[in-house]
Amino acid sequence: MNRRRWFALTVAVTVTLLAQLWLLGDGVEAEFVIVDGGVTLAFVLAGLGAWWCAGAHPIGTISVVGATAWQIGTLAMLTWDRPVTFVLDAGSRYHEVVLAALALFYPTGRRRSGLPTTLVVAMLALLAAGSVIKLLAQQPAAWGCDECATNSFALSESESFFGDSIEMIGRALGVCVAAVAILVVIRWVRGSVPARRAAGLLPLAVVVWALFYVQDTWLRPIDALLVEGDNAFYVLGVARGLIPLSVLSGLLAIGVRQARLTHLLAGLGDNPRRSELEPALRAALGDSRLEVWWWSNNPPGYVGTSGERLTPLPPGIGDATIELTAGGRPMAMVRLDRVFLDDPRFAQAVSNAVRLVGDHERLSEQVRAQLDEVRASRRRILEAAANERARLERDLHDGSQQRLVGLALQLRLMRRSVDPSTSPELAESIDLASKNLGEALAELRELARGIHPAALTDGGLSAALPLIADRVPVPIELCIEVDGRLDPTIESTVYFVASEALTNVAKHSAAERVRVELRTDHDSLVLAVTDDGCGGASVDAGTGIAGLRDRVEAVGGVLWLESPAKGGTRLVAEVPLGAVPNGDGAQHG
Amino acid sequence: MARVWDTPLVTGRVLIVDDHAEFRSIVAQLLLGSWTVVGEAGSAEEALVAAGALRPDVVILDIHLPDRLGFDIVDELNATGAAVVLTSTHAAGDFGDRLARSGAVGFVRKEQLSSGVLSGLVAWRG
Repeated sequence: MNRRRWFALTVAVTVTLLAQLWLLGDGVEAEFVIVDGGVTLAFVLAGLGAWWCAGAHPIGTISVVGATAWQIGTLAMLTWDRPVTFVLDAGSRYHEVVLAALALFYPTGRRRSGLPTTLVVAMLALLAAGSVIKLLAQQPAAWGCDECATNSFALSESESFFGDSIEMIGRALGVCVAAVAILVVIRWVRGSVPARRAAGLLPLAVVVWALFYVQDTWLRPIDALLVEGDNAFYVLGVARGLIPLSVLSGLLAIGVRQARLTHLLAGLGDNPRRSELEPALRAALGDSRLEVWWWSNNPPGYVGTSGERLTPLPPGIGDATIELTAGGRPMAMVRLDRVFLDDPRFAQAVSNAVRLVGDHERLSEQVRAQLDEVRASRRRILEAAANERARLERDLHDGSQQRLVGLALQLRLMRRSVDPSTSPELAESIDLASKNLGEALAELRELARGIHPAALTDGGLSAALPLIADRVPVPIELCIEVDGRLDPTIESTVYFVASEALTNVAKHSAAERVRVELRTDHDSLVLAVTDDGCGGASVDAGTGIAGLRDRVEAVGGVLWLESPAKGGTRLVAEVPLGAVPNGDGAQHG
Repeated sequence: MARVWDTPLVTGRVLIVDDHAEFRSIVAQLLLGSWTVVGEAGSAEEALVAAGALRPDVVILDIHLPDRLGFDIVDELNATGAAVVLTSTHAAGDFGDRLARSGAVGFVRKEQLSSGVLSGLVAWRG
C-alpha cells in the first residue's frame, strides 16, 4: 500500500473512532450507532476490497474518502453546541458525491467523460456552495437556539436567506442524484448479460438511495442538509451503505474472474490446444458469447474454433474485439463483451492466453516439422548408403567376379589342351595362374560379402545372421524368431549392428559364449547380443557402438548397452517396424 | 554321343542355366567329351520350359538369376526328373543351410566347375 492510501485510511479510521466513541459516550440510541457505523464500515470495506483484489484501483481511495466524509457529518452533529460544529458542518455531506462517483465510475473507477463527469462536478459545486453558506451564513444562536454555539465566521444572520439557499441547494442535489440513478438504470437496461452481471446489486442500491434522497430534499429540504433524526435517516443510511457494498461484491466477482483467468493461463502451460481455448475463456470470464478466431493464411482470413470462416457480423450489444498480431501479421481475434475491456488487465490476460496458445501451437508445429525433416533426411542418407552398398555388391558380382570366373574356366580349358609331358613349363604356369586367380576370386568374395552380404539381399535376416555366426570364433547360440522379409533398411541396419556387435565380442570380450536373439515385440524388431565376457564396454569407448547407435536411431530405434566390468555385455537394439518416421519408402532394387 | 557306360564316371544330358551367355558357352566347352549339353537357359522361366521339353539328367543352376533365385525352382526342376547342381560366384558359406534345404544334389563355385566335379556331385547323391 502506498502512502496516499495509508493516509486516507488513517484519517478515515481516526475520524470514525472519534465519532463512534463519542456516540457511545453520549448514549445515542443503538440503531443510530449501528447505521452510522455500518455505512462507515461499508465504505472502508469497499475501499480495502478494491485495493486488495484490484491493486491500484481508484475506487479504493474514493471509498475510503467517503467513510471520512460520512463521519465528519456525524462529528458535526455531535459537536452542535461548540463553535467547531460550523467548520465540521461545512465539511460534511460530501459522501453524496462519493456515492455518485462510485455509482457512475464503477467498475473501473476511471472518470467517464460526458454526463457522468458533469454530474459529479455539479454535485461538488453545489456541496461547495452549501459549505460556504453553512460557514458564513449560519447563526442558530440568533434564531432561538439558546444552547447553540456562536458562529464567529458568520457574515449574515438572516434565517430566511440561509434556509432558502440551503433548500435550493438541497433540491438541486436531489435532481443530480436522481439523474445519477437514471444514468445507472439506463446503462443497466442497455447492458449485455456480462455487463449486468458485473453491475450486481449496485443499480438497486442507487435507485433506493436516489428515491429517499429526492423525497428527503424535496419534502424536508432543510433537514436533509442538517441533521436527520427520523426513519428516513435509517432507510437512507442502509441504501448508502449498500452502494459501497455492491461495489465491493462486484469487484470481488471481477477478482474471482481474474483469478480464474490466471488459473486458466497457468493451466494452459502443459500442452495448450487452440480448440480448448475458446471454451476455457468462456468459462473463466462467464461470457458464453465469447469467440476466438485464428488467422489462416490459405486463404487469408479468420477461422473459427470449429473450422468455420469468419463472416462479418454486425456487432451485438456490448461486443468488442481484441486483435492480436505476430511478427506484423494477424494471428488471432477475440470477440468478447466490452465490459471486459473496461479493465485493461482483463484484455491483457485474454491476449496473453491467446498468444500463449497460438505461439505454442505455431512453434511446436515448426519444431515438429523440422524434427520430422531431420529424421527423414537421416533415414534417407542411411537408405542411400545401404542401397549404394547393395548396388556395389551387385556390380562386383555381375562384373568383375563374372569376368574372373570366366577367365578361370578358360584357363582350365587351356590347361586341358596342354600335355604336361610335352610342355611342362606351360602347364605349370597355367596351374600357377589358376591358383592365383582362385585366390583373387576368394579375396573379391570376401570384399563383396563385407560390402553387402548376398544372403541378406536374398534371404533377409533369418538367412544372413547364421552366416555371421559361422565366421565368429566364439560359440554362438542363435535364437531367431523372425521369419520372412522386412524393410530392407531395417534389415541392413540390424544386420550391421549384429555383425559389429559379434566382431566386438570376438575382439574385445574374451567371451566363451554369446547369444544372439532376434524377435519382434509389438511393432518393434528387437536384436539382443549377450556375451559372458569381461564387460566394461561403453558407447563412448570407441568400440564403434556410438556409430551403431546412430544407425539405429536413424531408423527411429533405440540402442541400449549394459556392460558392467567383469559382468558380460548385453547390447539391445529396438527398431520400430510399423510407424517409420516420415515413411518415405525405401528405394531399393 | 553315346553314353560311356564303361567309365566309372556318371555322365548324362546337361542343361546349363545362367544369365551370362559367355559363362554358359565356356561351361559347355568344359563338359564336352563326357557330358552332353542339351540346352542352355538365361533365366528361371526359360530353365523350367527347357527342362520340361528336354528332360535333362542334370541341371547346372546359377543361384542369382535375373527373375528368381535358383533355390526357388530346384523342386520344380527335380519334378522333371533332373538332378540340380547349384552354382554361384559366392561361396557355400554365403548361403548357410539354404543349400542343404534346397533339394539340390550339390553346390559348386563357378570357377571350380568341371565335368569331374559334376560327376562326383551327381554320383554322391544320385
